[in-house]
Amino acid sequence: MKQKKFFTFENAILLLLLFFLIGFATGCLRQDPMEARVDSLVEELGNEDTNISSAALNALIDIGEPAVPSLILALTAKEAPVRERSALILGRIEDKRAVEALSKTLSDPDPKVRGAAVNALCNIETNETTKLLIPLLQDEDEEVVLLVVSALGKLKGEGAASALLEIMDHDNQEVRKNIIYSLKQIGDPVASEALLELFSDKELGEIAASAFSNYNFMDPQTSEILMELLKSKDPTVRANAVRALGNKEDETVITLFIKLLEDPDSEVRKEVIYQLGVFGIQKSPGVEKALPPLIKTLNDRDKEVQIAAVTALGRIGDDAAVLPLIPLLENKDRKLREAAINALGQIGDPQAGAALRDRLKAEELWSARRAMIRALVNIGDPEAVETLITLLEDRHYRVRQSAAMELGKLRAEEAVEALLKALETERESEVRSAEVYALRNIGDPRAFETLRKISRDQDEYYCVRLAARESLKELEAASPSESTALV
Amino acid sequence: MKNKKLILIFAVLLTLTLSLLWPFESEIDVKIVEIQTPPLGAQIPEKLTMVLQNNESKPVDVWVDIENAFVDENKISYPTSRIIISENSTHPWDVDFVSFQKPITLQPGNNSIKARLGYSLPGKYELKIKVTEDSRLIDSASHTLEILPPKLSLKLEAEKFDWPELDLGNEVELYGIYGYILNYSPSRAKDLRTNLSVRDEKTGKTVFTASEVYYVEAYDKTPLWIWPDYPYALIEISRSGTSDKTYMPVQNVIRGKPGDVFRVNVSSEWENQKVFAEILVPIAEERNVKNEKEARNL
Repeated sequence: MKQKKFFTFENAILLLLLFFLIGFATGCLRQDPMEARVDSLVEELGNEDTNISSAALNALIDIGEPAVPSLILALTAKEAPVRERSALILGRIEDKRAVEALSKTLSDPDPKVRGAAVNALCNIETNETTKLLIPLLQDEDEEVVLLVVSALGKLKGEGAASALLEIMDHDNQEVRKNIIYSLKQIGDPVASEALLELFSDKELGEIAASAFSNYNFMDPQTSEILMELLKSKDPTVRANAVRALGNKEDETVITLFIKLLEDPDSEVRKEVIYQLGVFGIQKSPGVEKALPPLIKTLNDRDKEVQIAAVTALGRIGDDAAVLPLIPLLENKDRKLREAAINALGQIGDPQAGAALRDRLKAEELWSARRAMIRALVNIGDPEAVETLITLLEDRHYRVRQSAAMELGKLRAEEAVEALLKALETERESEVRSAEVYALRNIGDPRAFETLRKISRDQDEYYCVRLAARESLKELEAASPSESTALV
Repeated sequence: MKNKKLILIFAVLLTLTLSLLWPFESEIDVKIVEIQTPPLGAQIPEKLTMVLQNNESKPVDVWVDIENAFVDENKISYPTSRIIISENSTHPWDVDFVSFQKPITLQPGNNSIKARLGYSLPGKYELKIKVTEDSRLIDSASHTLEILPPKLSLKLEAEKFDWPELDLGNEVELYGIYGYILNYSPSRAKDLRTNLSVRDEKTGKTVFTASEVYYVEAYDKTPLWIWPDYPYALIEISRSGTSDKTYMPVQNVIRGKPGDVFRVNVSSEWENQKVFAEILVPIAEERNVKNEKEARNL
């Protein structure tokens, strides 16, 4: 029998043909470059080198939508970090196709993965998200519970407030704090009673009181209860009731607060004064009634209450407070002195000008001298420019900086020579920049030459050189004839 | 038999032609026509600008890869992660941040693209830019960059220092020494080991040394003080020469007697670059004035 030859010409041709056809087909069927990139990046999510896994994570967030199918698959990967990072990325991409897979991930054995799924679902947000997350309030891991609590606050979904109230007695204080924050965000009146009950809690009471800044809680009945709580025997409850009522701009509340200025507890007095100051900023009707009792409080036995009263008087901004505040400029307590300077500046009555200038010479505290600069400018003191010019030589750089800045704001032409002189010796970069910008604001042509010199000086601070360049550009644009004359 | 062979040869030739032509049939006409970089400094991120010319009549999607866009202090190279692309040359202000993880859409005509660059150390670097479409290389270009090293200098100044809060009276004279490290290059200099050494000119002995690490930004200067407004070092001249006064926050305090002259030397070192400055305190003019006064009194 004749043996059939395999290496015939025809077979060789057929093999060659087959080879090219396979090549051609491979070319046609090769993986899309995007898919290939996504797959390799998903693989790198599990890399032990966090630089690499983070880079892959960011790259996948950048890719966005095309990466979603691969990331959904990765939610069931063996390695927990890959599942966690995939959930995180899906949350950032916010593609609704991932909701179903992420819902399943809520029962992942690893708490970090469950936590990432909670955040992701919160970001994607559908009508069902709140319902999906509520069961996880019973999670064994406290970090997961914390994430769910915060997520429910953000989502403000139906039934969330009641579910949060059910775990209000949680063992973890952080969880309890976050429940209050979330209840505040949700603003469901169903939580009012529980929040009021917390007022006696030394740590949580203040947070619970702050929840009443959400007006949903402030119905007439709750307001009544809060006013009653002002009479509580517990000073913590009284102070928290003040905090909560501070959100209610009402003459009745102001009258009640004025009475509480006599409260035996200094914390309550301080809180009442603070709230009256806030009413002062808001120019609430009836706040002027608080002026005489607040002025009286300047002599309170507690230093912090005194400081609060000074601040409140500044916020109310009535001229009647100026004369009682002036003696405080000489007070030994630096905080009280600074509060008085700031208050006088806020009130803005020129009567205080002379007293501030007199005190300036003796004041040792640089921050107080700086506050005086602002106060003098605020009240529009006629001798402010002269005073500021002398302060360009102050021993503290922050004072010199403020003086230069204010001279610029005042566009004080009489300060140009002093600013130019100061630039000859000033060593501090921030002060030099302030002086340059002051010269720009004043816009006097006498400054052109110095600014030009600074802008070219290689031994100058970079920021000052830049300030001079910018200033020159602006000044030259504003007055081209002056600038070219000096070149 | 012959016909069969001819058919086979024809089929092979046809397949060969198809296979060879297939990769080229859909290649797009995109060229890198311009690459520009500003003066670059070490540790200062900058941008590279390149112009990609799309000669097609329709928008095309390409991938851009830049090798050696970032090189760390261990000479490890990283590609840049983001680029900025303008829609087309007629609307260059219409820019958008585009991820390198996605293809970039090039409009017909010139497309200006900016990419971030950063180098930890001075030296020469070769950028390799590749434009690909579906893994096929469309165009590539190389661009060599030179990162200049910091150009450092030191400056010292001394003057009489007045400290009214301390109530020093007439018995103590203070001289404040101020110093600056200047950098005239686009490169930032980190970890500048700076040494202060003070020598008594009479005895020739070194009486004080201190060391500190500073850094200086590109085209900037760094004051050597520890606290703004306070000198880098203080020279206290008192009758006893051993006053126990403290001058916080100034830590470099050198104590001497009237008539003492100190040579203050400061040196700063970065890689293999060393700069120094020297000053005599009290400065010559003050010493002369003092000598004249003393002569008159005699």
